[in-house]
Amino acid sequence: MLYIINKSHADSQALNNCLQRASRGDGILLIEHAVYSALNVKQSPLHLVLDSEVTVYVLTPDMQARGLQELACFSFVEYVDYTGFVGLIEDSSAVRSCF
Amino acid sequence: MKTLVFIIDKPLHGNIQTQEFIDMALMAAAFDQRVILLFEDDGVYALLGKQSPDAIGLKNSSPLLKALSIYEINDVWVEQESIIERGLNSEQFVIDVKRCPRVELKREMEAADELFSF
Amino acid sequence: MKISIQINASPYQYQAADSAWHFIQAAIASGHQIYRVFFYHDGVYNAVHDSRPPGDERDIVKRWSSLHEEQGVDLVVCVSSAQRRGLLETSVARKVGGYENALANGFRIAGLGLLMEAVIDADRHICFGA
Repeated sequence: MLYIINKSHADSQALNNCLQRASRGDGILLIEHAVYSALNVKQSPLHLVLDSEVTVYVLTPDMQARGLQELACFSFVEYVDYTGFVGLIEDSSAVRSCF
Repeated sequence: MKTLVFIIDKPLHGNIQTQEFIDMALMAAAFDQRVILLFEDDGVYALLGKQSPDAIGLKNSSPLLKALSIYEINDVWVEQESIIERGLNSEQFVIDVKRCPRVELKREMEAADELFSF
Repeated sequence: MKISIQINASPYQYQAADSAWHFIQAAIASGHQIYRVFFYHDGVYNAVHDSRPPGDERDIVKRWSSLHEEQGVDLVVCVSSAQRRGLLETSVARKVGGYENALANGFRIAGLGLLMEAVIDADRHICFGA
């Protein structure tokens, strides 16, 4: 399954709720304000992903818009642009947008 | 026929979006699609009986929930973990729902054609 | 692949309309067909005819109109959401004495049935919201 999250952990429980459900082989795509959750800070719940087999993607235009491209993200984060976003949709028959 | 899962994970009142979200589910059923209405996280509070939204001038959605079967929506599920975490039990609910563990719901969602949230 | 899009949030207040538009551009460039863009909930505000953003800002409504004119993308505004929010189809507005020019070019008003048709016929249905 591909989860699409658009709010940061500071704004919403969406990412936390998603992490409780995501499992091996799933992807989590962070867009809009959710890209803040990709930053390697102790407040981000993504540190829970370290030992899991969930892939976390972050939308680079949203990172660039917010000036985050120079800041350290979690090492396991994968970067995609909008073409990559489309590719994730092509590859995922189950897509859940969490608001 | 596609299987469409409508996920309610937020409480019902004070927001027209919930009413409009359920309208989507009803339309899907009218189009002969298989509709699953799933309540999880804080959405399970929507199932509580004894709601009086008229106290704040809003429409009560409990009658709509009770009428789901008339609209051919018979798969109304609730995530077991969400009920337990909130200290609720099925007797407090306005309708009969099927309790499913999270891991089973995940499988159902992966097998479905589209998932909707609001 | 046929992709249908649903937009549930108002423009400018939320990024949904922007995210959707950029996604659509990338999808078209990748060779996919955008089956329909359906505007629901507060998303109907993406179709407001008289939206006038400052000159140095992107014009979201006009951008959608151009998407229809240049790429032929079907832009549908949900009638019940629209009426609730005061966006009336011209013929309805005429009957009730409402504003007849509420809808921007390129949009049409229709019921949830067109959303369902899109969900059924498309290969993927992606929602952008608040």
